[in-house]
Amino acid sequence: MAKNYRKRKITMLHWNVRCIFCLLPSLVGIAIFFLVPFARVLYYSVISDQFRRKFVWFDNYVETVTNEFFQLAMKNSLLLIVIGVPALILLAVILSLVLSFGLKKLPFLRDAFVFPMLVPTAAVVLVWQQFFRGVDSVLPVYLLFIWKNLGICVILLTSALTTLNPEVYEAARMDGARSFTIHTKLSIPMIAPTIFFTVLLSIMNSFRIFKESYLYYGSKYPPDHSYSLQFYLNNNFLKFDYQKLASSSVLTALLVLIIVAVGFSLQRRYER
Amino acid sequence: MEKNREEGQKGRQRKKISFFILLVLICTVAVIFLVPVVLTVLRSFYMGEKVSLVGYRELFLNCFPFYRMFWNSVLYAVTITAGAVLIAVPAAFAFCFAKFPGKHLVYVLYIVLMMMPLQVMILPNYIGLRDLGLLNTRAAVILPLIFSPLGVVVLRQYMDGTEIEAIEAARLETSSCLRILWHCVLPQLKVCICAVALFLFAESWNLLEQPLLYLNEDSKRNLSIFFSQTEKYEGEVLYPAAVLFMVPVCLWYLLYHRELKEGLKYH
Repeated sequence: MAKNYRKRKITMLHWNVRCIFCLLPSLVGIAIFFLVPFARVLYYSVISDQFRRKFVWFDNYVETVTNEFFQLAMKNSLLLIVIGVPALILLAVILSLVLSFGLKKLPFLRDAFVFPMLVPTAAVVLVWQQFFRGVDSVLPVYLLFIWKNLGICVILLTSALTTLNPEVYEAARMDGARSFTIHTKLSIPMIAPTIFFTVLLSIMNSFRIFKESYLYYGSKYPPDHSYSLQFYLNNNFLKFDYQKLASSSVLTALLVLIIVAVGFSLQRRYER
Repeated sequence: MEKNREEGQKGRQRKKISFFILLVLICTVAVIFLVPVVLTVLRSFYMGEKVSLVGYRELFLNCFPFYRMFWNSVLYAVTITAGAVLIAVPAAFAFCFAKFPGKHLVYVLYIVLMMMPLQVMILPNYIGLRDLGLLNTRAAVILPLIFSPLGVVVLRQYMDGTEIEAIEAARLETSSCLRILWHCVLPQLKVCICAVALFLFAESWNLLEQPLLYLNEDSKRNLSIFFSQTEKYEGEVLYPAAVLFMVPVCLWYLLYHRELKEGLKYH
């Protein structure tokens, strides 16, 4: 008996070791390209320059935070999170509710919203430039953001909606509830975890807006309202100013980390 | 009785009306969403006011950078997608079926890395590539993306949601991880793998920042860069180029749209 147990334990161990070998390529790659260099970035962010390498505590951070371009970029990023993301999520929730209840029999309609997520931004940017030629605001870039990111939100939300139990809806309808009440009181609370996740995902995607605005404005310098963090980083990249780059990377990473942590802890609290 | 029937009819009528209102609204939004793509295609066939293929002719005969950049796009997208899937599937399998200390912590690390915007990772990537001497080679674009944690996280989420029963039985038969992976797990993961591959392909087809910063010769850059330098090229080749840029993703989408819509889930 004991022998059998030991044997099983050893095979378990072997199994786990083998599985770790499956994980190894991914882990090694992530260490080489992400973790180790990130540790070096942390180091760069607290030294004076590449040659003397004097330890300067938080001087680089102070310099970055007080830099007016960094502030502008941060302000624009936060604005997109506060305005663009809620607009996107609202649209996505309404569309997925309509697509999976009202127009259930016409599933191909969903493709119109999913397809843009795959179309390369560079290919449609010409139309955008022509359409919004005289417009001097963030609107075109925000619209490009919504156009590109709605697809993934709709996919996640509709697949969450299909897992809901239809009997609950029948019961609600028997009680005479109107569709609006049914959806605000039933559907939305039931898919709340997925909505939470799409919000988080869209916030993360909003940091990637650089691609859209870079292509939209071409190699011209963007106007103030569309100046994103990436432009700030790019300019410092061209100047090889590693200290500024490193400290702003670390600050952005911290910001993202806070958003992710707050998001997941809120979700956990909600689920309880 | 009579009254009841009347009310029922009224209700049905109201339902019909609301259905049509919804349909019209959604169709309008759908059309708005498709306009950019349709307009791009239409404009590629117009020269000024007339229908013509001059743009395509110019593009094919006189615009040589396009060929090279298109080829680079294909190269990057295919190698990144294939490599990322090859690495992500076993990794997700290990996360799902192995027990080892610190597994949860490592997984959280993957999620955090997945959530990190490119802006944060571009300097670390750059430093890593510089130290390996890979800057200004095609590998600089390909390698970091092959190891992106997105595929691992999505596949693991999907695996957790599906019940893979045969695995316990299979483990009595063989001790090879790869054989179990191939025979038991892969068949049930097909949909998700297709979705992940399509998603990764679209993302790497749309690459811009990495070729822009890690490479300094246009001969190694991809098509996205072509459109950021529109002033370099003549106006009429741009729309045809944009259409050709969309074709591969459209084909992929036509083939695998069902997998894409079913394979990405959040549990």
